[in-house]
This record gives sequence, structure tokens and C-alpha cells, in this order.
Amino acid sequence: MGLGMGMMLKRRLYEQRRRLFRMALAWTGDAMLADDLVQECLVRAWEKRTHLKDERKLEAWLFRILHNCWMEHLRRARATTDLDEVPPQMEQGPDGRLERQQLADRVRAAVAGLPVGQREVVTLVDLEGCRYAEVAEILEIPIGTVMSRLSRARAVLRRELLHLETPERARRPLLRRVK
Amino acid sequence: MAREQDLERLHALADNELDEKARRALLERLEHDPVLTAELCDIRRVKDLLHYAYPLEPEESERIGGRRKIRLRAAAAALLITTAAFAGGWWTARWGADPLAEGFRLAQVQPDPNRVLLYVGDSDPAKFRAALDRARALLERDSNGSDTQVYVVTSAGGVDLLRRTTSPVAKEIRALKAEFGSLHFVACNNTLFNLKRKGQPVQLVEGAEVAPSAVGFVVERLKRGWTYVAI
Repeated sequence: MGLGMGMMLKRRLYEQRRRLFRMALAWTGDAMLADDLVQECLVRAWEKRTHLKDERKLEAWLFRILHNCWMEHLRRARATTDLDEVPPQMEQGPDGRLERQQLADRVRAAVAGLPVGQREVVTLVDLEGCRYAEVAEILEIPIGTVMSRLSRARAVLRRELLHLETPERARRPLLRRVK
Repeated sequence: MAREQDLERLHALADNELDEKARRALLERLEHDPVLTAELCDIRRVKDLLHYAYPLEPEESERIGGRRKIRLRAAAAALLITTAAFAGGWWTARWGADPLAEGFRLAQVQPDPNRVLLYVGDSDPAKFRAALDRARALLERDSNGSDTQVYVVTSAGGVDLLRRTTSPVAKEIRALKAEFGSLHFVACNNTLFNLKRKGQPVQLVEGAEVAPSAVGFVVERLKRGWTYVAI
């Protein structure tokens, strides 16, 4: 890879950081951790840049690296815990009390409550518009697993966010049916 | 078809994963199956909520005490994007390749000529009819298998188009919805909330959907290449 190509790739990697951060935030629920993961992902992508055979697949390749970075973080942090059982790490800030009342925060809380595998699939499909086959490639899982995780994730989010069937949430409706 | 298979296909439809034949077959079923239609509507609303909750951060970030603190400002960011877009000439000027869909698009995104947002912000029966006429014309412009999608998005006075007590075109909306599976009517929840707080009725006509915020809804689609047309 020549100097010019290297600069071009560096710029393209830099341009992806906001999307990577959004995805990392959706996965982790923690802005600081998301920031760290994105930095690690970009450094690793640069180091392994010769592994990228098709530049049109840069985004999927980056999400795969990001996924690997997060999996490694979880393994380091909770070596004995089933990854799908990892509880959400919600960000707690000084204005968290106010933020929790906001719609966006409640959506994020619902996403954070999903098992890790479902969280990754639903955010890759819904936020990034990834095709099912791309998600299967990024996460290295069968396409049938992508579809079943997506279906389960959306069922939970619908229940949590649209129909408000959970009694403890009934007092604070998020999105009311107004009919 | 088992319910589980139905659901899988609905998800695939919402994610544009079905081939044309399967898509058409499912859309035909949806016309006669209000339960499945409601399921699809909910799937789409969940997708919209995720976009709303995770906006792309603006370039600038704040550093507090040596630690980066990035604030999530979903609605504010959406409004800023809209304002900045207008102020900074971020929009393409009129896009006139198709006079029916002449409107605005974001310049930096890949345009999708088959996705159109019709925005109604005033309680004006003439505009309501204009919106319906425009929607019909867009959906009828190529009957040979195009997958045109049209969202009529309403906020402020425009929600009167979709309120049962105020809409002069409820029947026409129902008929259009029955004829075109890819036509949607969306009311802004913020506007409805304010109306309800004032004690005004907010029941919507059959088939109408509710988005958390009309601005957020429009901006998210603009970022995905949709064309915006103000009625």
C-alpha cells in the first residue's frame, strides 16, 4: 500500500469513528467504554490494514473488529460469565435523573437490557442498515441466528417501548397509544 | 403459514430482505390482515425509535476535567441538523429529475429516488388534499414493480389531517392505505401530547402511525437519502 493509499485509508478510518462510536455506545451503554473500544478498533484496523482485501467492505470489516474488541473486553472483565447474561452498564451522569425521563434514554435502557447477542444484531440492522448476510459475517454466526436474535430483540423492544405491558413501567409510559 | 414464519417475513420486509415476488405477496396479505399490518407497523416504530435514540454525534465533543464527555442530545441534534442544513446550504437545491418528487435531499447522502417524505405542517384542507394527490401520483407513477415508499408526515396544525375529529379526508386516507401498502401517515407525538394536555381529542384515523418527533423522523430519513417535499 503506497503512501497516498495509506493516507486515504487513514482518512476513511477516521471518517467512520462516529458511526463506530454510536454502535459501541448501543452495545455497551457506556460512553467512556465505547470511546475506548472505538480507539482500540481503529488502531487495530490500521495495524491490520493489509488484511482488508476489499475496501468496499471496510465498514463491515470495522464492525467486525469492533465486535471482537468488545468481546475481548467482556472476556477480560467477566471471564466466568455467560456473555448473553452480562447486565447492562448504564451510564450514570450528574444529570442522569433528568435524562432518564427522556424518550431516547428509555430506548437506550431497553436496548441495554437485551442480551449481548441480540443487542448487536438489532443495532447493526436497525442503526446501520446492515443486511442479514453482512451481520452474519460480522458476528460470525449463521444467518438463521441473525434472524432469530433480531426477532427476539424486537419483540422485547416492542413490549418495553410500545405496548407497555410490564406493570412497573405502566406508570411512566414511553410512547402512548393516543387512540 | 405459521405465525413464527409470518413474523420472520415481516421482519424481512421491514429490513428490505425479501425479493420482489415475496414482498408483493406479503404486501397483498397485509392488505387483508390488520393483525399482521399492526405487527409490521410496530416493527417499523421500533426501528424509528432506535434511530431516534442513537443519533450520530455532531463532530464537536466536550472535554470536562480531562475526560471526554459526549452528550447525547437526540432531539436537539436533530433540530440543529435541520437548522444548520438550511442555513449552510447543506441541502441540494431543488431536485427536479422527477417533477412529482421535486423537493430537497441532503447533498452528502446516496439519494434514493423511490423514498419520499411529504410534510404537512398546517391545518389547511387544501394542503391535505394536495398531500393525498401528490402521494397517489407518486405511487402510481410506475405501476411496473417500483417499490416507491411515501410517508406523509404531519406536525403542528398538520396533524389535523390525521385526527378523527378534524380530518376532512379520513375516507380518502383509508382508501389510499388500502390501495397502497407502501403509503404511511405519521403524526408527531409531541404535537399530540400538547393537544391532549389542552384537553383536545387526539384519536387518529385508521392506519395512522405515531412518531416520537416529526423533526427527528424527517431528519433520520433525509440522512438515508429520502426526498423531502413540503406541502
